[in-house]
Amino acid sequence: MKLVGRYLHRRLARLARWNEQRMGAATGIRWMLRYVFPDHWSFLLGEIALYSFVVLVVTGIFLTLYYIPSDSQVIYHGSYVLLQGEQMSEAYRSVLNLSFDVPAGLLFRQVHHWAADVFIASIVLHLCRVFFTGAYRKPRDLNYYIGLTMLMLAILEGFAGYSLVDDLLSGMGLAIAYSVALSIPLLGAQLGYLVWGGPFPGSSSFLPRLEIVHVLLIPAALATLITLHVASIMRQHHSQFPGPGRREQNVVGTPMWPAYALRSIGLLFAVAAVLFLVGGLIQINPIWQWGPYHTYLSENGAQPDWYIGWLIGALRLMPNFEPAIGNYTIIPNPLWGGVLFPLVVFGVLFAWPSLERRITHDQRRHDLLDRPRDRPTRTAIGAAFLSWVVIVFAVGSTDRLFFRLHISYTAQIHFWRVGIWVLPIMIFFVTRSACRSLQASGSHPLRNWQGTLIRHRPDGQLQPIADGPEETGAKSSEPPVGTLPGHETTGL
Amino acid sequence: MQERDALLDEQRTDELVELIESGGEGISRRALLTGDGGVAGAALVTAAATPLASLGPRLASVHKTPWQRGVRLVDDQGQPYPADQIQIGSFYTALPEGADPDSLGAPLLVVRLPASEIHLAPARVGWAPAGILVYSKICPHAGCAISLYRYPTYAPTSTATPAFTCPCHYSTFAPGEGGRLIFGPAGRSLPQLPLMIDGQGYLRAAGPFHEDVGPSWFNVHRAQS
Repeated sequence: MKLVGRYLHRRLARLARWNEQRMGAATGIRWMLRYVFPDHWSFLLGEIALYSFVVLVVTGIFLTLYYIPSDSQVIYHGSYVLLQGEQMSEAYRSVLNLSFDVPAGLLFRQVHHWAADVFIASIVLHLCRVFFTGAYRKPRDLNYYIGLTMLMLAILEGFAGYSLVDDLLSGMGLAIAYSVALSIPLLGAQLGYLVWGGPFPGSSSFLPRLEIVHVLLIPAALATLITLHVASIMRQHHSQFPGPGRREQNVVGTPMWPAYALRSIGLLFAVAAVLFLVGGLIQINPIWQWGPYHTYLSENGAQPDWYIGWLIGALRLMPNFEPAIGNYTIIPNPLWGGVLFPLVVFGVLFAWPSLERRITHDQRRHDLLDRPRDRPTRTAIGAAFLSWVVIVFAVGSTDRLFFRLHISYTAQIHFWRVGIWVLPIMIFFVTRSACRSLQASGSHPLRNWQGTLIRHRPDGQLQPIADGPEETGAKSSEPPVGTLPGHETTGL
Repeated sequence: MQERDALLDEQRTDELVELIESGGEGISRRALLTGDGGVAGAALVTAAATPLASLGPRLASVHKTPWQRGVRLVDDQGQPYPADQIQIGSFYTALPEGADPDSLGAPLLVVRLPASEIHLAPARVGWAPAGILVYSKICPHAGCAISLYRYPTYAPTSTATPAFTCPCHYSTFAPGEGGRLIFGPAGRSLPQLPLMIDGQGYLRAAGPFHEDVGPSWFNVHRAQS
């Protein structure tokens, strides 16, 4: 049975002719349908980010239909009994109404929130894949910069999103953001006044500004950059891991039509299904519990969304260093953790491709990916740098460890003020020697492990079969990967 | 399997460079330099005006505060605080009577400590009548409201001293020592407000803050140390 029968064939031919007479695009479409995708699971991380973005746009449009960006004070009379009679901003009331009184409103808000967390998580994992396999090298360095820009925008977008709600938690986050803006030497106070329309908590124009940033400016920038990102991939074709038949000059994999297109549409539906399932079943950001924001109130043990955790951690870990002349502060403390730390992290990431080129003198084009073990120094630097950021991120939740496990908060901070420098150095050396020994032994500890076969004995006991898994033809569909000739295995 | 494009075509690249260069023919280098240089210079001077302005005489306080001599302390329902209601071991949030409670200069922390716990600088000895001490509630680090108060009630099991702690980044201040920072990232002490008790026994400010309140900015004024 053919997928395209005779009736469909006539319709399709008419459609193609119709399009051809107007656009003359047959060659281009043909090129698209023959486009080859290399097969590797890690290539799906970027697609998950893309499809989370689709879910974010769809659910976000729904939310904008109900959200009111207004700070005028109103009295709540909605269905949530515990807040009835409470004075709050119209913005917060509109989100409460969305959550309790709009059909499917809570579902859409929770899916939106979960999708944002998944969106940024998949971008970060995608970035790790790109870094550790050397996919950022020429000619993809340009696309790597686009990706990093999208990550920065996505973090800003997420922060703007949960700040719109104007509950106690989002107000506290904005107070910190305002303080970070104020900490910039010379211009900080002017910048803070400019963005907030006056001293914190700002004028009535602040929430509408934040809404435009969240629903128009950043999403439009992201959509543009996504288009550039994908167009640039298609122009250069995907990178691929080395293997039999795979050269720098070719791409081996699955063509767009019929295989990859259907598979990718399947992934879109799967991502949407999982996000709606999670959004429907697992509560996230129960804004009614925090209550309305006032500058004189705060929530104890508050935690931001995960992608802000590294900034909270940096602000908490920083000692109280604040240079001053006489009784006048020159550099307020939040500058270190809130401005310089993210600048260093993104600065290193942006500088890396050209830095590596300068060190290795490798100006060639690379379309074959590296296996992390084959570049021990790069992998070790990446692991150390990643651990440096992850430690700062983890420090953001030291108060939770104190509440749960009663480990002294001050002791944890004092420990990590040293550990933040010691541990990454240790990780550097451990990773580098692990890479080198894997390289020397050529073993694949994470591949082809099929578990242990067990037998259910008549007496009810479970007995492992000593021989281990039987060798079958379907051991691995992946071709063996080796180091190609001329493929340096030392240095970066 | 698919072959990749070579991407770099030397001839096409050279042609493109030539095309762009040919558009610039007829513009003399001097005219370009004078024209562009003039525009860039003017733009730079304009852009520099803002930071230069901030280098001049110190700006008026970024966070204005309504507190001055005689302003009464009220709770979030607008009720005044009688001094004899302030208990040792609790902390209270106070707002200025008849002023915007949401400005960063407004909210206060009120505590009472036994005389043995109070070690104020000589200039502040009169600021704490009846052992009642009043501080800005806004953390000078990142602007959160300080809402944790540690008061060791059982002396034999706790050696800790009384402390205010901000739940955002855990800056910790000593209420008995003029708001001195004892832990955390804040770069300056918690601003203290001089207090008095009026004839009817209510709490009132005895004067304005002697330092800037709210999160710090460039050139912020901290307390005399």
